[in-house]
Amino acid sequence: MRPRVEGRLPGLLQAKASRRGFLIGAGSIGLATAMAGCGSGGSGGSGKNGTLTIWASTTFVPGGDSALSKAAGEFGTKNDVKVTVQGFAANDLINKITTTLSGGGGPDLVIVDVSQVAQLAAAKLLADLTDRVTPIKSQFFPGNIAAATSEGKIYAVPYDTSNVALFYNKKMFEKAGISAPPTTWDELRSAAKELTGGGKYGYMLGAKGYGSYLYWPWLWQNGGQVTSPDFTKATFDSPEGLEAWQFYADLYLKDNVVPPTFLGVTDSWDQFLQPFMTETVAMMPMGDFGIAPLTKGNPKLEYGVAPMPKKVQSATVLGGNAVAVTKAAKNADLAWKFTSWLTSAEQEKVLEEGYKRIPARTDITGSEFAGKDPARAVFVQQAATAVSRPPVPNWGAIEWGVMADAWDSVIQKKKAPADALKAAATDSTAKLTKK
Amino acid sequence: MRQRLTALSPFLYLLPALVALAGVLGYPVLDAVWTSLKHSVPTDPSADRFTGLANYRAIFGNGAFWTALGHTGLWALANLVLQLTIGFGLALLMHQKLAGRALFRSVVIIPWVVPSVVVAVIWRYLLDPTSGPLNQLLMSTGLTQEPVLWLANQATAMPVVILLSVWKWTPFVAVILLAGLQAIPEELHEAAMIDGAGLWGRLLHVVVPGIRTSLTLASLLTIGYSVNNFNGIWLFTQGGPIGATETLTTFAYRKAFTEFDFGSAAAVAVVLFAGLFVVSTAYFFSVEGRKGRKL
Repeated sequence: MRPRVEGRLPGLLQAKASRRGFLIGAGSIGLATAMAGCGSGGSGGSGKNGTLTIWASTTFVPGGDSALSKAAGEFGTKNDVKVTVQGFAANDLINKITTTLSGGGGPDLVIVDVSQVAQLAAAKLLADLTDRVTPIKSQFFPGNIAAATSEGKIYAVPYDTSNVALFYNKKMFEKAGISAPPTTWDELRSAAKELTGGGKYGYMLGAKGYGSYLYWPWLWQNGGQVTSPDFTKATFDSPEGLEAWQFYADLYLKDNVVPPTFLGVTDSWDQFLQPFMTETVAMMPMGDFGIAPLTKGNPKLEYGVAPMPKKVQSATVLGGNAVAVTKAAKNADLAWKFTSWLTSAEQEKVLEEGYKRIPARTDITGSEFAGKDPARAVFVQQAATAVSRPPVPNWGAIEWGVMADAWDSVIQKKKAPADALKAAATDSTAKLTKK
Repeated sequence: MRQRLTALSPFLYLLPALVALAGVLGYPVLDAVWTSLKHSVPTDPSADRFTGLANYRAIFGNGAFWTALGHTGLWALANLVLQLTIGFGLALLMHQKLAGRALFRSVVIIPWVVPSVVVAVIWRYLLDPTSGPLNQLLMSTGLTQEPVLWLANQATAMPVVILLSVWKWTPFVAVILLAGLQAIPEELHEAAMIDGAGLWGRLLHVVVPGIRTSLTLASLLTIGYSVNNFNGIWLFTQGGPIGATETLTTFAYRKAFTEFDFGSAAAVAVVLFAGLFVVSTAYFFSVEGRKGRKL
């Protein structure tokens, strides 16, 4: 007997249609990660001598014809290597790298934020470059090398360096009768108070991870440390740390010198610098990467850049990116050749001209590029002494997890600053010792 | 022999698709279950091991999980109720023979066809505390003195993301219900009118029974999509401020990609899957069962 196919099929389809609803739903967590934006640019030579794939954030690869892609293409043509450069949204890059490399695929090289090198190294996704980097180590700023070092081994070569300095609005300062940018905490607080009023504010803060990232300079300026020297215990809730945290939080909670809209700064530095750009805020802590968007967004803005204010000492937080060879690189020598070429003195122009970023090489000090812009000069000067955050595998979970939550609970007035910080230190210690 | 092959052949034709389906849908689910039973932390690959139900014990013992579960229920229920009622109203309007119906139908559908990421960009601009038009309007009319931090305020964040999700997904519900409305034969309306049924009577006794299948489908899809709608929250608040909009999907995402604890994240996903499976099946059978009795 022939089965009644015609009669059965619609029923089958119907059942499938309704089941799709929740099955698709169950996969949506994966989908959300896959939706990460991705711009790519292929470039290079014949491929006779192999292929190289490089993943970087959209900072370096905003589109197909980025300066990095062009440089990589140059390398490819010269060496007969087919080079592909792909860009991913900064927030997704690390997830993408981790999942793809863990799954056995992935790029030969990655350019990542220095604070993420240790995590990738701990995940055993990066090649140990200690022997190759050691001979050229002195060419880079020590803070950047420290950030690329995990448990005594070097896993990446510093690419660009950045740090945080104090941006101030010259016109607003003049109007308030303040002649020079503040150099100490007390000066900063009183200047911020002077500059606040009539819808204008003295100082800018951020929420979430922007809050925790910008706390470290205060901690170090007050003589505190993030962790114990062996990275097993969080020590940022020391008396120095508590005092710094309280001062930092009080800028908003007590002094009211921060625009309340900072609570919404959760996603990007563009959001963070907007009130300063529109002259609603007179001072903000910001990296050198803030210069380009400020110039573009408000060319008439008259601002200056000064070193961060000091308490018992000067200190600022080190950022930037580093180039690492992954475990997926089949030709490690070729990958290294590209890495050392990209980070060489000859290629500094890629960062300088293509991105207006500061190369992490010590020879940048006193260079024409460093001197051309007085704002940049401050960042270059601070580059030698900027402090790197602890190179620990769980750093992301501490800075963007525990500490971000602690900061938010303070600025959302759910917890007293001291209680939040102490609890965060306990949680962070647990993360540092977690196995 | 020949006869039996013919009988089997439709299923043989389906086989490649079934295998693909099993690979694409079945494998990830099984893999998620397996991952949830392991200590799986990519930053610590050497410690990878089977830990049984330890991840489940950990998440059930975590207060944040229960808060997120509560938010998920609230979020799904609010989405279901609002999308079905507004969607039903829209479907009725789109079904009328009004002037400009084609235009109206196209306009209604716009929010649904716009990609989530674009929706987020548009609405985040509109709601922005400093430069957003909504706050500028509120302040220039004197309704508020200070800008309202719609997405950064613990009290407003959840209602706002719910409304935005309703804005985006209601057209989809409306289209499903419209299809149902169009399947009701005109004769039924005429017969009801001859029997003296008014507008309300026809709505209750002709329209609602007529679109019951569409309503079931729309409800199931809305529950499924809402519970798993990660974009609708993450792109606006990332679960914040301080967890005010944290649902199980954002909770799982944070476990996986902030803490890099894939085992716990998988456990949350499995709980979510199981819960959704039970709710959907129960709903499906209760509605279908009722229909069965009536026939």
